[in-house]
Amino acid sequence: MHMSAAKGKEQSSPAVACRAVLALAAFGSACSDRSPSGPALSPPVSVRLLTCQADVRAQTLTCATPGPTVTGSAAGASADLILGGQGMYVQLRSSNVSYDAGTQIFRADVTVQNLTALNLGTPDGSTVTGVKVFFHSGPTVTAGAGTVTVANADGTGTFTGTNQPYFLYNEILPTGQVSSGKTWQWSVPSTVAFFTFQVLVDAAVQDFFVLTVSVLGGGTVTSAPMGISCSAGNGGLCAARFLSGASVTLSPNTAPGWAFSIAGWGGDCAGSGGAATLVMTQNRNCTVAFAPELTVSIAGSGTITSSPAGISCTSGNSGACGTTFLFGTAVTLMATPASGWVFAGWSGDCMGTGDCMVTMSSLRSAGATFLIATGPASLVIGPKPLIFEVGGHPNIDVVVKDADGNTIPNPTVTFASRNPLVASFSPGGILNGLARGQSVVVATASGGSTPADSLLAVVAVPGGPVVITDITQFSYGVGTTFTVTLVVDMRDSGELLGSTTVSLAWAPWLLTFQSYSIAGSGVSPTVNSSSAGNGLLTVSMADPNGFAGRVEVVKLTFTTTSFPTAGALALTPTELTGAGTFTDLLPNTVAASYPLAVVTGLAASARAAGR
Amino acid sequence: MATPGRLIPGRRPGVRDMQLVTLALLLGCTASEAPQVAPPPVIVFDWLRNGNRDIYRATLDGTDKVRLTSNPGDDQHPSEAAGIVVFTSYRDGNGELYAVPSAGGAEQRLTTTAANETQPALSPDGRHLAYLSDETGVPKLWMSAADGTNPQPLTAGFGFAGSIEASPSWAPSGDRIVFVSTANGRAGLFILTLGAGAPTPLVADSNTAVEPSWSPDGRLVAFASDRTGVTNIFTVDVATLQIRQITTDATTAGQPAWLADGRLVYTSWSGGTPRLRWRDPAVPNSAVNIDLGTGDVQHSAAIF
Repeated sequence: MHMSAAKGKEQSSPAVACRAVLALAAFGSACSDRSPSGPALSPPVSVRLLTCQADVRAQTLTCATPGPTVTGSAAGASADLILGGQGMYVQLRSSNVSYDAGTQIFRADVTVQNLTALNLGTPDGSTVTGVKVFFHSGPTVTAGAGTVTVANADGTGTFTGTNQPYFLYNEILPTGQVSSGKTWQWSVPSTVAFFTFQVLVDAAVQDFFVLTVSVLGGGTVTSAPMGISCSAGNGGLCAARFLSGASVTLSPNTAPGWAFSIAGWGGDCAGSGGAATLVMTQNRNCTVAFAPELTVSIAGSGTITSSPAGISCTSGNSGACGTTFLFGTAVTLMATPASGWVFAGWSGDCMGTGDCMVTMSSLRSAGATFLIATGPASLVIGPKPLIFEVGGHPNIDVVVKDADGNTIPNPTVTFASRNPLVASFSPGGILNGLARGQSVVVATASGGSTPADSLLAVVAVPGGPVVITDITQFSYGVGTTFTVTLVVDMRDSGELLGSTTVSLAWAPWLLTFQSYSIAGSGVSPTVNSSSAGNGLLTVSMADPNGFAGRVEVVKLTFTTTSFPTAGALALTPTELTGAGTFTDLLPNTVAASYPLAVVTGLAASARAAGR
Repeated sequence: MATPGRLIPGRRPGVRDMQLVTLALLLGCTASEAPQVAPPPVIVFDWLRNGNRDIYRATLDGTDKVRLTSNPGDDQHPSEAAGIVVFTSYRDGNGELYAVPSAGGAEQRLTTTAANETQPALSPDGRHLAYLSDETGVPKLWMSAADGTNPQPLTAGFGFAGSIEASPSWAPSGDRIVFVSTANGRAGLFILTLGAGAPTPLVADSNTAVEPSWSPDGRLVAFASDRTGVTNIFTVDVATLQIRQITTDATTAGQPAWLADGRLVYTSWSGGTPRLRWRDPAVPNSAVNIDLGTGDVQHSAAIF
């Protein structure tokens, strides 16, 4: 490979016989016959001489790298390399070439370009040791008389021999960079026809780079070649130097309970597969995040799901009850009870009864306990008893409370009219009076296997009195004692209540009569409970002055049976007259029959609420 | 310091030896009765005088200088064995090897290639020639017959394609060559055992080691190194690899060459211009300048 000659600037010197203009070959343009094909990835340990020869009389100086191009390998890389390879590893270019015949000085401004993939002139990327271009041999006269010497060398040193002159480019040359220019000068007598020299480049190279690994979570990362063995919390060997150009493979090794996915690679390893392979052409950093496992367990019947998805665990701890999430992921666990069950709360890394969010920075576990649902503890409906005109349609006020007496917001309550000919409900929960009569309306709050319920004694009038009780719930626990107030409501009839006889009948297996007492209206009735064991009781009173409005006649105390069953409490007025007028009010009187149920599992407070 | 007049066993007789033997015979002495006096050692070197570098011969005291070449091109790096001096000459525009009798006489061109053949080293028996050729673009160690025929590379596959090699020096046994290679990135010393595979490192650490010269007794290799700062002469024990500093000059000292009696001749840049010195490695501060007159003198080699 030959450089083409570049004409230098002529300077006349009449005192010198040889008036020839001496031209020093331009290193750079002369090497255009070998265009750099890009930096080599391997360390530039290849050495190629740059042999230059000056032909004084032809006014040329050519620099050649004879022979085929050689390529280097990573063998023996060290902190300081001697290299050449014009157009391959380095590119020397000259400009402003001239010869002063008076001073007999050749001169050329010479630059060095780094064509390698490594920083030249520094062992570590920051310390400047510079790039030395030294004379491996010569300058040697090959024709003519006289001696050629390097006139302005920056120094001499031992490179491939002793006392070799060199020019120092005191800078770091990153890949591709051209150095600042430096003027080379040779003392060349005009009697010299040819001279030759061979130069090489000696430069520290940043022949190693640092690979730093950061580990999050349980596991270790090891390297091949060895050097990295980094564990959680960046313990162990988490940084190592590797020869530049070296191919380093990082392998994750998980600890029990931890997993690794390719999404766990970060930094320079991001996007790698199960193992990350890096070519050390620069300092590199990799982060590795192992994925901790989240396990859940279920007591009772229900499901646990997660967001992001991954957990879908059902009763009996079947399904997806454990999975791993990327380190640092915020996972929300949601517990959903099966029908008839309620979520009692979390355990483990979760607590409370709401959705649980855990941050996956470690192994996590959570337990969910589901209990058989007992339903809302109470259901309060007002006003009760509800009496309204035929055609009327009052809204119903419903409040549902839990066992602790806290109001349950937005409960689901359904209503049913036992006598749809008398009353019915619109979809919006508005009760309509359809005909004169009485209908028991059952309201049920859902959410448990035993819904809380309430009774509405609905009487559609106008006209006559209403014989009702203050029973407000449908279900009672076994062995529950409750009191019922017998009420005769005269408000719509406008009469005063004179004499009254009302029969109360119930399923004797359902309720046991206990006692009675004077109610709030001051009425002192006669209670015949001789047949109470058979589920029959009579209440009678007579007052010529009468009672007005809503008249509480008597309070009757019953106890429910010890086993779940169902039945009814029916009211039958047999005599009802107006005070003073003795008007028979029975034809216009509406009485009621209350469906009742005895169930198990109601809380004591629920039972109390029924009183 | 070696005793003047001591005969070194195994050394081949030179011209002066033959003259002494002739004198002894003329005096009626038998060979065994002749005085055991050795002549001053003779060295060859290249000498830049009056703008031209040529090959010269002289005795160690700087006398008896004989100019062996007189070509206008630079002649350098002489090596001597069996009465023949082989050297590099640039008289043809590139480095070629030439030979000239050590007693003076007609020169013979040994190589004719487009590449540079440089730094020749004749084997102790004078039959083979180790030298450098940059035929592949990089100076590599080659060997040929002493007349330059049958050239062949010696280090194919060693180092890497671009590692440079330089400065071959033969072991006195003639079966090994120590040379410089940058196979480890920096210039270091390696030993090639002929016919025994790849070279092995002798001095191949992070310091620069160049210009090796194998001692006549085969135990040591002298070399130049900047391992202590200023480039000086060191020896390395071939068996133990123990390194010993020989010179402690304040300026560069290099290009060591052994004399048959165990002394070292080397080039010193003390004073700014290269001059030859000799010293006995066993005697501290024994350096003696070899007064050859003006001019730059380098690349000495002993005539055995």
